[in-house]
Amino acid sequence: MNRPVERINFADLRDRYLQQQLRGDRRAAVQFIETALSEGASVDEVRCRIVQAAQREIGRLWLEDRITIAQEHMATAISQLALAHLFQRDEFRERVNRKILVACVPGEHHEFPARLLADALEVAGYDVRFLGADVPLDSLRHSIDTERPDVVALSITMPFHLPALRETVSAVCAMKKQGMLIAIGGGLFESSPALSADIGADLVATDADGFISQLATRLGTAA
Amino acid sequence: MISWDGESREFALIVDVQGKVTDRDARTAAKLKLNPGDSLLARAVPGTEQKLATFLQRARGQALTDVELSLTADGKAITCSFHAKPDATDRIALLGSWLPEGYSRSLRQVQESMREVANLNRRIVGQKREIEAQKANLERTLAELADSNKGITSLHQELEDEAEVLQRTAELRSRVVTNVSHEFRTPLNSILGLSRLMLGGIDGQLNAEQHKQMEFIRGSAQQLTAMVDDLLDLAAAEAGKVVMRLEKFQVGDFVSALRGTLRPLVPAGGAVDLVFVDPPADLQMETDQSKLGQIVRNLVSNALKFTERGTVEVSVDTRQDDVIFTVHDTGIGIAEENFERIFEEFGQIDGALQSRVKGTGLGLPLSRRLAELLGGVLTVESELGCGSTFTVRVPRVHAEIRRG
Repeated sequence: MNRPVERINFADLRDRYLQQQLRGDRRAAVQFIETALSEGASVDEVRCRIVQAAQREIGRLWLEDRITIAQEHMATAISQLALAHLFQRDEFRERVNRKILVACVPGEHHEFPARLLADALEVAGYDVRFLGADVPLDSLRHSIDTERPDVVALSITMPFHLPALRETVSAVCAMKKQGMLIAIGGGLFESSPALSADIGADLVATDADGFISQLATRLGTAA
Repeated sequence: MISWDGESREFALIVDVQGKVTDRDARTAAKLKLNPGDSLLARAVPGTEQKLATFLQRARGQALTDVELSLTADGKAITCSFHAKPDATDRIALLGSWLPEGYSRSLRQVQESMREVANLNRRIVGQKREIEAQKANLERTLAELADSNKGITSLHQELEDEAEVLQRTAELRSRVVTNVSHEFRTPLNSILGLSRLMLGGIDGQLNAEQHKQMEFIRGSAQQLTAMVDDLLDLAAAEAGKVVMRLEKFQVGDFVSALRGTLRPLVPAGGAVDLVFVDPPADLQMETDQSKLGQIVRNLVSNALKFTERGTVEVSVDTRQDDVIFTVHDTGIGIAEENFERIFEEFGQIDGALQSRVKGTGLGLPLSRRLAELLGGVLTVESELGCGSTFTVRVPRVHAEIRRG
């Protein structure tokens, strides 16, 4: 099968962005994003195919013992800045009157994918509450009680946190909030879809785009 | 000897080629819960098994430094940095160190602060968008307001121009009416005088037909004179050129005089009664008696004109410092939509009886102006077919006297 020729070489852009990250040059990284936008990439493309792709690459580089945890932290901080920059440059769609709570399960310290999802949801018009990394179960329950979200979205990055995810999902289910959906997501469900099978979530997504389109169908908010 | 065992972050262990622990120090046992016989590979954090396996394999042939590995202990992930050295018996000596607690805590703090700053940033961006939207709205409203303002200004200018034209026209009309009316009087007086002479037969008797025609001429001239008088009065009233002759008088006497003058206007045949209700005894007024008389005469003569049968009743009452004269008739009445029209000059209503009745069309407008000059009002209440009630309410004592 012939793949259509891409107008923009995102793999190349990702690699160049990654180099700026690992050099620790945050200004160059943000400048690089501006350049990608001016060359015709959409904000969404830059967010997912450059910044998020680079973050996934960072994880792989640590596994290959090519970078240290310290470098990973530095690179992630630069990507957070990149996300903030992109958020400001994005075009917001019309408001959707639905509230979504985004959180990482207890022990999960990789906040980046959850932040990216929160941004994408907010741009799509949803009312988003972002609780961040390593949210203790009690804090999550409290937020659900006070914020009364339509959807709780839980993010994990590594199989190591699957037990915590399972426990969190069943605890949230036990709250018996009528009509509230539970969504789980993370890149790991892409390589091993079977992992999500018995967790008991209403929605399973592997990236922000997929999550938003599934959500629109489930909530009837599709344009 | 002081022991630093509890504080040190370093630990040592020896594993065989399969990664099984053969020896370890106390900290390895305490922190990582690794003991001889345990498999190091089984402790890799899920997803990092390959990294650990590769590390052990490479360490069999060479010394390695600063390799980060994530191990689990008691369900928690601990990331450690390892040095490795193979020994002659194919075992690998490992020297590890875990990240200092304080360092991890600080890193967590940094991450949380960053999250809060990022949340704040998203909120501010959201607010900025909101403000921009509101600003755009305001600017649109402002532009609309500026347009309306321009429209209003030009409308105002037009109105001013129009008012000026109207005022000039009114002044001109008033002057023309006054002049023309005066000019009318002289020839009218000639017609009246000469027709009286001819009717008197001084210059020879007229035959019956000529007499009748002469009567018509005189009647028409009299009507024309009344009209000219009314016009002059009205023009004077509107130009504010009316001289007030204020005097004290008894309302009882005033009504008696009216009765005398108006009685001849009652049509013969007895179909209509003209009734004067006696006014409150000793009621005294101080105002322009002749103007008040003109108003009431006008009202009564109108009432008689438009009443074919029944009564026309004149009554007097007082309320606070005002005196109210009411002229009530059982005539044809006036539709509500015409209440204001009858007070306009030449504003007579079309209809069978109306067209038969002779009038200048100036009586009511003049009466209203006169009532206003006396400081009062002239109003009407009526129902079509059920008669009308005209009410003139004037101060008992004219304002000029009260002030004086």
